[in-house]
Amino acid sequence: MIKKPMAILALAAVGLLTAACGGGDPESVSIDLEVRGRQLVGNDVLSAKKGDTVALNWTSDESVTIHLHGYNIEETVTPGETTTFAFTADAEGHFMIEAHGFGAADGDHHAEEEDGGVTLGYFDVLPR
Amino acid sequence: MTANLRHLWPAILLALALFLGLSPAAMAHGFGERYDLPVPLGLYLAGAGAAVALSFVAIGVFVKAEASHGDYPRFNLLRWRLVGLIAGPWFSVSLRVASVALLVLVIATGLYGDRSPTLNLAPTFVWVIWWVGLAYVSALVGNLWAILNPWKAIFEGVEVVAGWLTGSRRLSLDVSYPASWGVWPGVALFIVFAWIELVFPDSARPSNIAKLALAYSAITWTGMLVFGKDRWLRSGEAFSLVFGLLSRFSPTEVRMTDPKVCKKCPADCLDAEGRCVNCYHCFHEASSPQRELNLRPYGVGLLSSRPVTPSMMVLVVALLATVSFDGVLATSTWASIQNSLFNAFPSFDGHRLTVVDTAGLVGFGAIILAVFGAFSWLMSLAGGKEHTTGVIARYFVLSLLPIALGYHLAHFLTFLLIQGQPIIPLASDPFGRGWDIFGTTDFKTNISIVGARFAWFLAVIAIVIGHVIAVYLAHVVALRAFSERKHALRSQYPMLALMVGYTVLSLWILAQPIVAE
Repeated sequence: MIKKPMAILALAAVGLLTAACGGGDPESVSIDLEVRGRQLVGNDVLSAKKGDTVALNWTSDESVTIHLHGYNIEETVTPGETTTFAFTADAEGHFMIEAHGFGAADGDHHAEEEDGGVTLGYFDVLPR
Repeated sequence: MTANLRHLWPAILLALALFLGLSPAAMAHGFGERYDLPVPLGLYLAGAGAAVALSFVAIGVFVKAEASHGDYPRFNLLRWRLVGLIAGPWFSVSLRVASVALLVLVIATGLYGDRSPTLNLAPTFVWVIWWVGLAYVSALVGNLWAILNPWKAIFEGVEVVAGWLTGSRRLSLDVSYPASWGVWPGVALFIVFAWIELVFPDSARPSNIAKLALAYSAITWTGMLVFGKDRWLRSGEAFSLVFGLLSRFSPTEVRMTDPKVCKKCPADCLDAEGRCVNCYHCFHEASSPQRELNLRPYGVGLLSSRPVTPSMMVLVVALLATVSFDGVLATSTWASIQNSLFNAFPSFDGHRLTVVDTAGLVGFGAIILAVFGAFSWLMSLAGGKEHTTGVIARYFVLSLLPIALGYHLAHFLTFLLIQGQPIIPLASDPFGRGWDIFGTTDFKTNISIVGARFAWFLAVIAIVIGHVIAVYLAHVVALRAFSERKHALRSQYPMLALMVGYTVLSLWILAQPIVAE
């Protein structure tokens, strides 16, 4: 009776330890991202590890304001130009990337509030 | 029993929609973003495994256990002078004055402050600090709401003034409260509140919060005036009921040393064993030598020696369902169900998403109630039909609460610690007018305050501990409820299966990536 639970507990402990391990040194992560047809081309979950130096290089076929939640970086991307979000991923979590005001003139902030935004994807910062 | 309630729902929701002038679903429901990373698969499985293993250990222990109607260890904190001072009138009066001031401030900022939810005090204060934060305090510390309740405080203030004018001590029409109503008014109000929190698309809009607070004030004071303050607090005031339920888990209680004092109270405070615990009316009336403010083990307040009323059972199930549904709403599984429902429903004049989410909430509540009913039936069978299914459900429903609490603490930890931070700048500028009363306007939210790994471990540990406490409580209740020991033990196999299922569901939700807020 007692042996089986003990074995499961031991397995549980191994599981916990595996989840707890990790490591390595911070790296530089540079990701090229393209917005086309109001969607993100390719994988919509991007990730880095805590402490990484991150560069998200945005291009778009339409003028759009892109907002990385949590880190609260918001920039307008215009067609034909690359806009880079450069930051250190010092907070772990699952952060939404939202697009506001497709095609809107710059600085038209109230129109953006009304349209509610389109979720392009997520940026995950995992524990090292 | 639930039929009553389902008839009420459409009417209540319709009234509410008309009252608020429902606008099209523009924003996601709820308030504040969640940044939680899903619990990794290994940890999820480890947590589930631990829950199952510890359940077997618990069975092993209980096979040898005897029924105990006895007491649990207690320590009276009023022995310490400092605590006596804190529990004394001056401290509680100042807390209540502050609480009334905050209610007035929330309504004022809601009506006259900035319209943006993030620049106005009301949404962060109500949804994060009060609703989530006070739930933590209620479960982990004690029933603070019994002191803070601003509706009660204002009513008592008016009662005192009316007393000077008329000489009568109580302000009430003293209409006798129909016994058959149980806590149904509180259940209905809680379900409306849960719908606003989880489904209503404009719950973060400051002016809606103010209107809802005003509407709730009117309902509460009407109830108190018609049926008497204490009767309404125990039957209709949804937050006294819900925070009261959560605080049954907590390690503190107020108790009268002499149960005779309780007999004088209008409230039916005495429990089956003739004890007078957590009767705030009596505590308020009694002289200090008769009072105790006790420390007690976590969870013992949920050990009932008699079945709760049917309406209280439904309230607990509704609480369990809403707590879990909040997590389910953000999973990709719900997103795909939502999608197919969305296409199956007519447009409803632009409110389709609200209708789909409402259907989800009602459906989820009904599923939880049906599953609990089915397992109660199995327990009734396994227990040699000593009790009917309904009686079993009413005996055991409280023992499920620790699992919900474990999940609730896990689910909201990061949210509370991150989305609670804006209260610091908002305290300096509650109306969003550019004020800087305390010099904290420039405070920036620190999103790295909790590490993901810490949050994962805490989440899994909280759920597993909640599970173990739940299994323990259910066994103690079984040994009390069944006259035959054999029946008590057999009844616990279905209960254990239900609890493992519920715990694994909670862990599963936490292991899902969040796809919406």
